[in-house]
Amino acid sequence: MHIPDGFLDAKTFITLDVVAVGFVAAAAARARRVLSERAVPLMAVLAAFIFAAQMLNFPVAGGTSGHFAGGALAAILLGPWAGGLVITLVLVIQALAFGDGGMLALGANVFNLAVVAPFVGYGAYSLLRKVFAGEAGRFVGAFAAAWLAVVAAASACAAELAIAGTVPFAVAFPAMVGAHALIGLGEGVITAAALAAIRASRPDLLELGRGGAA
Amino acid sequence: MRHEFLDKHSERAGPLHRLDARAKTVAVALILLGLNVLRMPPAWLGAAAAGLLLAAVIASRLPLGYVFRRAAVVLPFAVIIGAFLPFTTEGRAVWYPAAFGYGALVTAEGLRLYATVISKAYLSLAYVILLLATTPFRALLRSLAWFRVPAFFLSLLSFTYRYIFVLVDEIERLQRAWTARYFGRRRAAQFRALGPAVGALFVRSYERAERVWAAMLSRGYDPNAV
Repeated sequence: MHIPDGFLDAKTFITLDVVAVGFVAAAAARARRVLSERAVPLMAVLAAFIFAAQMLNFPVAGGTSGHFAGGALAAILLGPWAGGLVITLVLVIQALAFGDGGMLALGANVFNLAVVAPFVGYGAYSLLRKVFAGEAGRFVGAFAAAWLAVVAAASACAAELAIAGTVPFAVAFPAMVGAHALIGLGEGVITAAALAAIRASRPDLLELGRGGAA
Repeated sequence: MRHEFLDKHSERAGPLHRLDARAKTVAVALILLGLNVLRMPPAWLGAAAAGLLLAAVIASRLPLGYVFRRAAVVLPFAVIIGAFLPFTTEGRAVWYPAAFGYGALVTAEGLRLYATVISKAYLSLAYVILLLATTPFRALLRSLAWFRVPAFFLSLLSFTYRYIFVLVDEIERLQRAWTARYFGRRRAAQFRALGPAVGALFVRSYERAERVWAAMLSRGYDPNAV
């Protein structure tokens, strides 16, 4: 879902580059304030964790495969700001070190995957935890949050391609959302199972982003 | 822990490798903007960008075909995403493919725009691959510092880059352990193992971050001196 260069027009990619820089500045200031000097090793190692986890592919349907994206998991564990910052680091490294995702389109990719996905995921998770009490709520919430985060990011991506005039919205939206509604199921199962595994060995780590503090 | 697939050629000693990273970054940024600011750049611009790319790739002394092959990964994506342009662009009709009583108008302008989008995507990625293959990552980060990217963000990036290699090792160990336990074919079982693997990787990563931080402090790390 990384948009390469060449698909977005100037107004779309420049606007989203500016938005992304603003988000990163705000998230970095927040991380520095809350975590002080610990921010660098913690954020960096967790970004490397998301990068490595994204190498795990799973088959979807018809020979295609999806991979774990991690936006919702990062937001649930660290809060949406620090989670989004971690995903941003992953995206910048992918673009700057491996040519994965465009340079000019980096802002669009940061917006979709590091802003929309973590904030939607975190919002859905917080809301569902209030509705469903206890441990069941945690896992139902994580599954739904991860699914919604993936679908929301795909919708944003479809909207950008449509605004840029590359793909008509009537085609881009159902195609992207349809495919990602399926991929999102995988993301949801992995996110919920990952939380269960973390809870079994280090339950204290589930409270890192409590109240969106970090 | 050698992960050559991640960063293979940037340490060579070709003529482009010796160029200042700042100069290369600015040049590639300008070329990308030149290619992408206009929806339909003039044909001579595309031809010039392609010619310059060919000359630069030959001058770089990278293995022949490396840049072109790696940039080709964008092609399937470009061909699919752009496939509606010939139908949705207004202009002179050249073809009316119809099937089952439905048809759509293909315009000459649309076909040109389709070819333009594919070429823009390919050329942009090829220039980025060329920049990355002739510039070590740390030199790229140093050049970003010169362009006033905040030190805090750059130290995050350089730390992340370093730990990617460590954690890719970690995930390969996890994968080896799990292929040793399953016998390849059981997709459902493999899928079920993914979540716990991600959870285990997170705990290992977090504990590594705590150790790294303790080690940094005990060696007198000064966070303000990045």
